Amino acid sequence: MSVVPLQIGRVSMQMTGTLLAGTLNNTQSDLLKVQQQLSTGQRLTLASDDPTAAIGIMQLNRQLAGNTQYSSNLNFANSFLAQADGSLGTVSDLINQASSIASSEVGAGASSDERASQAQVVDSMITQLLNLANTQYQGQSVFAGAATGNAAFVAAGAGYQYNGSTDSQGVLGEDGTTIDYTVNGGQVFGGLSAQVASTQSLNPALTSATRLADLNGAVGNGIGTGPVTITVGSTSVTADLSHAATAGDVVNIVNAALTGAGSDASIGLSGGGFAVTGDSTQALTIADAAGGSTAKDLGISGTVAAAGTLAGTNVGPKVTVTTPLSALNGGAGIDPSGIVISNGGTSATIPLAGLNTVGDLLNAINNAGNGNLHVQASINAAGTGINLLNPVSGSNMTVGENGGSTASALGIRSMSASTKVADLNGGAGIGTASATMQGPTGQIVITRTDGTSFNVTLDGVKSVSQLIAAINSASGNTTVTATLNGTGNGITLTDTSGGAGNLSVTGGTNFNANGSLLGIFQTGTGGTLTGTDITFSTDDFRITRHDGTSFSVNVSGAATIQDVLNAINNADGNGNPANKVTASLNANGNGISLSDASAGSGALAVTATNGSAAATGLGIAGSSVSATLNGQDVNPISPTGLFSSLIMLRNALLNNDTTGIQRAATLLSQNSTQVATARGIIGAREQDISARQTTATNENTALQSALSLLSDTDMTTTITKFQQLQTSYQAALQTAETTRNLSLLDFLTS
Amino acid sequence: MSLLGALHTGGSSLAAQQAALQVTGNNISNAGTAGYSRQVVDLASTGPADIGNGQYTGNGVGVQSIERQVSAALNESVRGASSDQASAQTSNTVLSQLETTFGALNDNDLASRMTDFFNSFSTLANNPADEGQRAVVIQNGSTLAGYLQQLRGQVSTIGTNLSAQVTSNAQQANTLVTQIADLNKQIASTGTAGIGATNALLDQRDQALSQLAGIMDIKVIDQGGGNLNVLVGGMPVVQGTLSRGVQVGTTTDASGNLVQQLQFSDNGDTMNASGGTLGALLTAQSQDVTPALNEIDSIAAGLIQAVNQIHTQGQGSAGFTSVTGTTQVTDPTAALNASSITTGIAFPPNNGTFNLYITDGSGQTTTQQITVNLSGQGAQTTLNSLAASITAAGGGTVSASVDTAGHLQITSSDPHVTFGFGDDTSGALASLGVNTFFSGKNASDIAVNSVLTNDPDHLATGRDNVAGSNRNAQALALAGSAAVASLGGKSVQDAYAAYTADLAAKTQTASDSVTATTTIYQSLYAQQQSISGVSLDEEAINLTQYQRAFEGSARFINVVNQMMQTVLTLIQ
Repeated sequence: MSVVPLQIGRVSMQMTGTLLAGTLNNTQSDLLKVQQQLSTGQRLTLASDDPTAAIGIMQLNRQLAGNTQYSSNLNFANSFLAQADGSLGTVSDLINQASSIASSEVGAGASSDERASQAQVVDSMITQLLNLANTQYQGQSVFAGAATGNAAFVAAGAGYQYNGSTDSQGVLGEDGTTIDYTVNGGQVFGGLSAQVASTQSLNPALTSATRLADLNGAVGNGIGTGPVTITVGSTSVTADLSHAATAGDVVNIVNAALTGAGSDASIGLSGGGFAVTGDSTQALTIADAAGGSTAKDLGISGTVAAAGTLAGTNVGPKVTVTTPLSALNGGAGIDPSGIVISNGGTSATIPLAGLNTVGDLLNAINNAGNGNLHVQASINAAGTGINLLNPVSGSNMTVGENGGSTASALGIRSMSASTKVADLNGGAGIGTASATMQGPTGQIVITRTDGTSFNVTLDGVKSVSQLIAAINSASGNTTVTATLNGTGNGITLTDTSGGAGNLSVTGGTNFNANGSLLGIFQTGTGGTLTGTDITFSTDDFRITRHDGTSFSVNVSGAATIQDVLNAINNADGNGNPANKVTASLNANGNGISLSDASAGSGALAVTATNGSAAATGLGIAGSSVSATLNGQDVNPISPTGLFSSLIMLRNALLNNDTTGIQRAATLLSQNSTQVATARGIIGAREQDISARQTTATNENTALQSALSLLSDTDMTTTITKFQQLQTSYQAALQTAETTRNLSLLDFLTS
Repeated sequence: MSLLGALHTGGSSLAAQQAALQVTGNNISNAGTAGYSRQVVDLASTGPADIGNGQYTGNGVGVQSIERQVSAALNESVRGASSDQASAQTSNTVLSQLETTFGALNDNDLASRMTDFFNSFSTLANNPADEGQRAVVIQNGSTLAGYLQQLRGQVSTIGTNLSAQVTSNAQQANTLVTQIADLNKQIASTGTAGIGATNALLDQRDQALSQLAGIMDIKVIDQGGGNLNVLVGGMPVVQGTLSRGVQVGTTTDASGNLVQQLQFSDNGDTMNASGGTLGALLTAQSQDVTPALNEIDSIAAGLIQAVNQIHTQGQGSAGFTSVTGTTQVTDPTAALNASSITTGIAFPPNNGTFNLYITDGSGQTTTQQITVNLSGQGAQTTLNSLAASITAAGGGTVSASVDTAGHLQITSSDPHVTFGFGDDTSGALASLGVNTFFSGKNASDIAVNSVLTNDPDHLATGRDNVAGSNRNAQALALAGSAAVASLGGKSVQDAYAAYTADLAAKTQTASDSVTATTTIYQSLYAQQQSISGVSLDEEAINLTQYQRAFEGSARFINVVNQMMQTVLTLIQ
């Protein structure tokens, strides 16, 4: 309350009245304010009562609202994860049940009828698993990753397709961060474990529509747009690329700046970068304005001599759905022959004709076979190539050529030269006749035409060339020469000792063939002994040509498909161009293809030797009367998840296949670990969230008390103030009553 | 001196004391009259009267003058203080009204509504497919938009009321200046009539002057001869007996708005009135109400821009088969970033690109990149050319056109083929009102895009065409705290908080200034009253004094009379 300073000599009636009224008015309005503070408990009714506190209150209110929302988001995430955890608990039980079925049915004691009836049980478990995998929380799929609007798994062909996303979705945390709450069902149920990841960088060329945001930049930092200084001779101009959005904008703006500088130089697109054609008469320098990096990022920073050119650094354009197919491979494009994809029982050929962009190609693959192929194609995370995914549990996918090189160019052949042999057949490998198998041991005896003989020690000989070397270098051998025979399927011995007898070979001291066939235990004609089909126990298969000749191949040391191709092409006995059998990857579909240069009526055939499974494992066992023998793709891509395991178990039970049951049991125990890991991750997240909840609650309390300090009425002080005001108001009224009634006139008597 | 002379002496006293009593009576009568200045009778002895022997005395008493007790200088100060006080009170009233309207600490103010709106996006992000929560978000958006419109309306009403007050105050000022000129005339003509003849008129004029000072800051210059001039802003509004008059006219301010202005009635010249109620009203219009309106508009524009820029990046749970932009483009052949006067586009786009996603009946989505070339080089994108490039990218099914009113219209000719948008670096979609959340340009016309109110499935919660994605909803939840260029890099929520804090500080200053000016005014008023105010006690003493003097004079006459009778008896 303000006090009016009075420096006056006389007191007039109006003055006392007015001042009194003012004082009463002030006291009354103060009283009202205090009364309001007491009745509402709020210290401030309007922000102007205490602007500083009001700013704090507004800020705290906003923080509190944010905190409340955060808590509710956390509660949601927690319930969501609890739901996922609960479902996974049931999934674990299911796995245990399936494992016990597998272990009880694998033994010899189980009958086929029993197994068939258990197959029904497993079948119903698959249905149950599908329901669990599609668990929802508040209408959202728990196991579909970021695609919470989709059912996580749907029946597709013979198996089940993961329809969710590999990305995860989060609730909004504080400060705009997100806290993931979704679960990638692909990981948990193994729906996405296998994919053909592009082995080829597609290296797109720049087009004028290429967005600068889709470039990795010449130095790998993307493109920082800003002004670029161009100096032509003594003239300097600035090309402002601050608002450039596409490669075309860069070209247009820089060219306009060059023209503005009076230069005939120009910039254009060249492959994966920009190229500058220099000025015809003067040197040209392109540099960044101070603090900028645009020219460097665009790879055009530098000086171009008069009439020279500057080939810009590759700016690493990413592959996007809008990238034209013609821009791939640095602008060379992709062979349009197409690719052949098969998945489950469906096969589809996807020619590239009529497709313009990578997006079109992805769509064509995703929609192949009228959507019944169930193959998911996408651009990889780095934006360098495309990945093909087989999301259908229990189904095999292969990707091959359609007569050209499209699949190889795209780097998506399911079986390529670099495919590891150990990964073939779903990771089972090819089952070679193991390298640990022994070749022949002991000695053989070669008797010359002159009747003398010498011994050849075979210990350690495991191939034709080693055998030839062993014979030719045997001690005591001066006249017998071993060579590969004309048809290449055996060795020929020639003796020049000039005796009248016949050259012959017999087993000697401790000789043990150990399963190998040397084909030379016979008596020759004179000095010549022609051996027949030779096979070492470590050889995996024998290839018989049309002309009836054959050779043996050892692939035990092959690590990749290319090694296998080399092993066949360079096999002993396959060196003669006239009857060479050439192995290559199929030009149609996938698999290894053998072509025979020899003529004859026999069939080109591959037969396993030494019990090796390699010919079957490589998909080339069989025979063909035509010039080529096309093998199978033995690297099919199949998800190895829980669905696959159960489907495998069911089918094995139905087919009375104990090996299958055994394998399913092994896979189930892997699945069990997967689920346990997933539950562990979920548990950790739940823990994290509840820790956050505690923090949020503490924060809320702190905010509330801070707010209370600012906005709530301090009752003690305010009540005291109220009493003070009340007292002074009463006093004012009383003094007014007294003084207003005092007048000299009352004391004057007439 | 003769006895008869002595009778005259007594008589003069009777008359003078009576006159003095009359003045005292008048003072007592006007003890409560506002603007009354007490009058004091100046009695003086008359004479000299020869009492013989070369000795003289006075020959009675006479009324020398009846003076109003005023201090012209003090009056001027009081007028100044009253001007200041009225000004402070008026601006405090206006600011308090504004503050109450914004209701910064209220649970339903703009900040709370914005928080509710953005938080509902956060909740929606937890379950983007939830139809109910979608409806909540749209409802909160509508409430927020409606509240902004309402707030603008309320502030605008405060402005309208101020205009009315300006008019009525100007009328009052006009009446007062006319009255002052009239009084000047009357005082000049009455001045010669006799002692104290002009006192009542002078009081009236002082009263009119102090009333006028409450309305505007005036300077009074006494011209002598009863005339005084009144100056406003250095220009005379009353010149002696001539009033130039006060009227309200209009003028255009710096930003091109039509605003009120005070003028001299005689020639329409601008009157630079400051202080007083009128000065404060005019200042409040330009310094408080107009900025408040602008602030609401900027916040609304910032909100529209921030939300739309993000909303246009996302996809709803259903694609479009037909969509019409909410922005009416006045010149579809002009570059989209040309002056908004030409294009009618409130938020011009930048150079950039956006994606058009076309989804066919089987669920296959084709992505088409649409370039919006506003780089300054090559053919610049216009509404017409944009429609053409969308049609070209539309694969024969999706096509765009510009309707007669200038809206961009995109339609799919096949009901199974839908389309959507995303990855817009140009801002063209937000500019044209395609796939936006809000329509409108500021608080006067902000509303939720009718596309959303008609079909909440178009609320763009997801990104990258992933079903059930919440990425866009999350981004929208953060839009309230994202920096907006047009708000000087502040977020909409921060901009509002800063404005209300500023308003609170201003209001507090205004309220403090009311207290300060009131104290000054009361202090000066007390001083003025100590000179001009009637004190009843003083008057009671005067009353007694004159009464006694009257009684004494009467007795003196009686004594003289007896003396005369004594003298007359000598004659018998």
